[in-house]
Amino acid sequence: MIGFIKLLSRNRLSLAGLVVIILVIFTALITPILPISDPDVIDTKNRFKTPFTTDALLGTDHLGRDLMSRLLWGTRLSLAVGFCAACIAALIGSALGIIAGFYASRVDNIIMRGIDMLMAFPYILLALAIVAALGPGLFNALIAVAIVNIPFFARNIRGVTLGITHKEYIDAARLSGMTDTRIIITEVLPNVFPVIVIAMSTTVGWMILETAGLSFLGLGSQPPQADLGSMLGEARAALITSPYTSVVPGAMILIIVMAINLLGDGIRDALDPRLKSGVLSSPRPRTLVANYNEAKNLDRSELLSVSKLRTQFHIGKQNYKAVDGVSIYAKKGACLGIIGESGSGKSVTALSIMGLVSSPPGIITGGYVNYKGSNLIHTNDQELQSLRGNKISYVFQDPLSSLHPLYTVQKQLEEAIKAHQPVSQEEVYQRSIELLKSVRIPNPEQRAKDYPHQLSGGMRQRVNIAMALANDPEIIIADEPTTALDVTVQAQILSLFRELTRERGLAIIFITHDFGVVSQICDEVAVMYAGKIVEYGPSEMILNHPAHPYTSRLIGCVPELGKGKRELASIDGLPPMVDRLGHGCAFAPRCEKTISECLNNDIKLKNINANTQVRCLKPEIHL
Amino acid sequence: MLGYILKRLLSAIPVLLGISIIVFLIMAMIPGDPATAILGSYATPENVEKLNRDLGLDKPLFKRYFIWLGNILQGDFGRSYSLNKNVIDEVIERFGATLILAGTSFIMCSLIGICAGVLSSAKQFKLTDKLITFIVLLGISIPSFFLGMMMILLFAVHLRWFPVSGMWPIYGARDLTALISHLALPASALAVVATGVIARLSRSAMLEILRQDFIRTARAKGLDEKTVIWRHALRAAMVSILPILGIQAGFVLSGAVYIEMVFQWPGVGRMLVDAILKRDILLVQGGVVFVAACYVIFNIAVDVAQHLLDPRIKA
Amino acid sequence: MQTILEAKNLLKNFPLNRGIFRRKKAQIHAVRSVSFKVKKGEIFGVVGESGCGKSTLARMLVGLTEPTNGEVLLENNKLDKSQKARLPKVIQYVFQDPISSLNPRKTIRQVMSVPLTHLQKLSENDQEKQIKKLFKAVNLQEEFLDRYPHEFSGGQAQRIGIARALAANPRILVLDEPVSALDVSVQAQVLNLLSSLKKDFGLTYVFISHDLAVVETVSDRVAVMYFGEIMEIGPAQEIFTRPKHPYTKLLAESAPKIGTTLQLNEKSNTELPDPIHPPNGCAFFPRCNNSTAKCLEVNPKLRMHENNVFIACHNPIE
Repeated sequence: MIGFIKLLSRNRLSLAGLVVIILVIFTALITPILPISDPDVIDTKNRFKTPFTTDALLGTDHLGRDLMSRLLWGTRLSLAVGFCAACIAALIGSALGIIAGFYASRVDNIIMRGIDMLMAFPYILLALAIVAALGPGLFNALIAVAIVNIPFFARNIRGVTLGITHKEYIDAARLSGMTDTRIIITEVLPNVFPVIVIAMSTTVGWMILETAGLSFLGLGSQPPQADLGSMLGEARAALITSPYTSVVPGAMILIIVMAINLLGDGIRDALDPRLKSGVLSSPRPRTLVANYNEAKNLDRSELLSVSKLRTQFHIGKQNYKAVDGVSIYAKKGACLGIIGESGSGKSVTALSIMGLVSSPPGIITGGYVNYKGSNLIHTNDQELQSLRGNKISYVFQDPLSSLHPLYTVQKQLEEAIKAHQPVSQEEVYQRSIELLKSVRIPNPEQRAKDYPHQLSGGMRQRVNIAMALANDPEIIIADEPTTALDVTVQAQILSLFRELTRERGLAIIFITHDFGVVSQICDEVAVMYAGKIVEYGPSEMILNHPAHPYTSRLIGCVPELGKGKRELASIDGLPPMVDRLGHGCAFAPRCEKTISECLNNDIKLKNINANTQVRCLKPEIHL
Repeated sequence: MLGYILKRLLSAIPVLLGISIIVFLIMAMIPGDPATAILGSYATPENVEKLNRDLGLDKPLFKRYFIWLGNILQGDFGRSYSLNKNVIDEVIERFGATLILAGTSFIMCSLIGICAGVLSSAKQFKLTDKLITFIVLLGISIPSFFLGMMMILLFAVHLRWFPVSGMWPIYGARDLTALISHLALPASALAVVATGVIARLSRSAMLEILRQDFIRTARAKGLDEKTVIWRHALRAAMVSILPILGIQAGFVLSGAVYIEMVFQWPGVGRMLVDAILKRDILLVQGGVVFVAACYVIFNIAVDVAQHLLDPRIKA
Repeated sequence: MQTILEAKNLLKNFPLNRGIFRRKKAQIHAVRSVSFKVKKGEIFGVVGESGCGKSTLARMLVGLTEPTNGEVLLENNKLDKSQKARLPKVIQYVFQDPISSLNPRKTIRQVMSVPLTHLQKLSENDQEKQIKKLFKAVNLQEEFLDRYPHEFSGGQAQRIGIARALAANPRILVLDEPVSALDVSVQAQVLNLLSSLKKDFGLTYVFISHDLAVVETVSDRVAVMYFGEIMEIGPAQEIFTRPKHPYTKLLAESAPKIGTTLQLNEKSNTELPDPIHPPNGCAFFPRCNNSTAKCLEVNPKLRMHENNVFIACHNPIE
């Protein structure tokens, strides 16, 4: 609860909304004991007194009734009716939604058909029909507004419940011997409840507006009793001569609803776990770069080198050092592998090169990327954009979500070409077909017309690769391109990559977590742990004679086919969190060879032979 | 495609039947004797009995429903006693006026709402975003009838830019300029709330899309940011924005009732409120069924548009 | 050895919603008649690629999914309605995604106490003792008990999932890709834990994975699934070192191994069969290098080949 208020208070406007609404509710509660005149006493002699006169702070209306008093009593009434309607709608709607979502199939079908029926009316028609049948009156208006809002809750809550019902913990509860009713109460409801609260907090305002609306039309509260809506309705006749009689109740509705909406937004944000972690922010077109001295006089002969790259994620007060001083070199016609476990910073390294790390929360805080003499970290947006997908292109992990779901393969390929080359429509079509052929997609003319969801996983990844090849790149950065694929398909995609290096002379940076894959296609490999490279050199050398204890033990953990049933070697402990790294070697707590020097100072990456570098004080020596 | 439209039209039949049942049942709930309600308390017993026979009220409920349904299908919605006119003629005439108002308003709120939402999402957390978010919040919190009244005060009474109310000038030509000047205030007042809602939901739909992998792919391809936002992201976001537009059309149609009251617009909403207050049940019944049916047809159009937009939905 | 679990002609179709006007409903054939026996105390591996029906099979074994046809036999007994409720006491399930198998709004203690209350009917005191014992068995600290699921790493959460399954005191554990969401170093920890638990608790495992190497390291016997059917079944070592079915061979050769070069063993660009309209003949036919005309027409039945190896193939590899 305290945490919730803390989260809420982060949003100043919501806090203001909370304060206002508390004030309004408090005033409404104490209205009966306030020293104000009776709201319904008619005094036609004193009609239309302007505000700020004695005895009538806000003036009087067309029957000479005190507006202040009527406003307070009206507010009381409007709030009560709005909240009641919201509670009724939430209760019935949520119950229907949970039942429909949980039991699915036939029950769901019957309930949702009924809900669809109600949704088929523009809401006011239904409300009008109900009021027409029951007769005008505040209570009937309340019922009408509640009924009209049931579908909103039912649909929302059903959707959420359906999602939860498919979660594995519901299956687990079932296997733990729980009955359906118990599962609904202890497993589903606690998880749906925040959604109900969010839905209520965002609709209470609406319901107050709607009941006020019905009263405004003369269908809600009946004279002499008045809520805010009917005050406005009665004042309408005198709008031009005595506008304040309209402004007073109108402004009150605005204040109440605005405050509730502000508060509702705050509640929504505080309860949505995704917002807490900053996931819902949309990434900028380019990763943020902190202010630091950029490198001058870069070597023009290098194809691509990354030097002392540092990329961090700033989430709340935490600072995750995802990449901490990484240097790698891509060579023409060779494949460089970057291997590591999740959280080691391998993907972030790859994405940092072209500024594709999501920002916020990502930020590049050091290092440079040298591409033929220009620093890609500090180059201007136009130049970076002209290189992206042109000379340096990417292939990502998930082949389906990496393609636009609503564009055909052809359209996406053509777009990639046209982004960098001014070619005619005819030529661009020919080129895209050629690209599909070059990644060995059968029937390219047919496949070009397909949408991504119509292709198999392997075909989708081929399309992604074709897109990466669209402008004859020099470098392809592939971020776990085969992780989402089956082994048989993986073999095909890997052989395609190998061809690209051998035949086209491309430089490939290949991110993976699989030593088998490294062994099959990488010429060189960099092993990463906790944001740093711990070993870097020719892949054959490193795989056969790993020098860093982490590399050697990690390879030992890999189950290998053909060795039969056995115990596996394992590494105790967990990889460290990169937001609280201390001094010294990050692997030291899990290492068997740790000595006190390992813990004290940062350890440098040192050459142990002509080609291999290792970040370890006691590397394994192979003779 | 044609097959899909046909299928969608067929599936509307149960919905339309459902609507007719709901409306019929609600109207059947009316307490007391409808004949007395219609004829007023001075009616002679003979007249009441005659009307009851005319309305078929002496028959059981389900039979009455089928008779009523049969009549509706032949375009006979009964006769309005308060106007002494065929219900259907009055409804169609009034609905035309509502359509002009709500249609204009709907186009306004869709265009402005989506643009504001996209802009806001593309500039997330920046001043533009905050400004739009605040204006939107103000927009969805203001009662449209109050806004309408304030607009009359400011633009019609004080500034005299637009006429105070009505659809046509009392004297003078009923041409397009006259219509537009009469339409400007009510259509804007009506659009404000829906614009806010559409902007809000478009913003969150866009934010959801902008962090998808294919947006990163589009950027990695080297597309310029305008293309990424307004083509790739918006196109994908439209899949979730379109249904919102469908729902908001219902809200615009609903809000039109208030606006018609405030601006004395001769639409179907004002007709309904008058009919309820005069307890002209047949007029209410006919008006509700007719408008709801139109709304169902409109939603089919939205579904078809959705179908055209998203190839993943199979027929 | 005695058979503890048997699948008899298990078959599962999922209806596809295709509107009200179509008379014949389309179906996805997820599992197409699968039969096997698991012996007491063994680790039975099931391996296959995505969409081969291995998870559906697992869910049918523990009663989370109702089979369209066929039955599950526990110790040669058919399960009737009254016994179904007893099922979780005998057979438990460990999920692939350890975090999402824990209710985010419950502490670990609450999660753990559910099977102890509802299946074991233990008093609160006994529950406490049992929870401590189980946590010790899976190498977790007791102080974790009052934390919420999101505070754990994948490896820790998977240990909790295993402890929860053990709380029901079952004799069989169905492990559905229990390590595929974990990093290699953690994967080895969990696999080793599983093998020590098996000894301590006298368990029988059905171990499902897409990773051949993982399945081989843990299993006594292995079934290879493709497109909802078992292609080959037999002793683990036999299956992977001398595969008889062309599909098993393809799988074994495609798995990247350290120190091997990349080779392509398949006519590339072959499409997978359509699960809505399964072929009449062998599902692997279009991708097979050994196929004959017979394969296109007759779907081969699983039959004894040699050395306790059963295969479903007309032209096995010699």
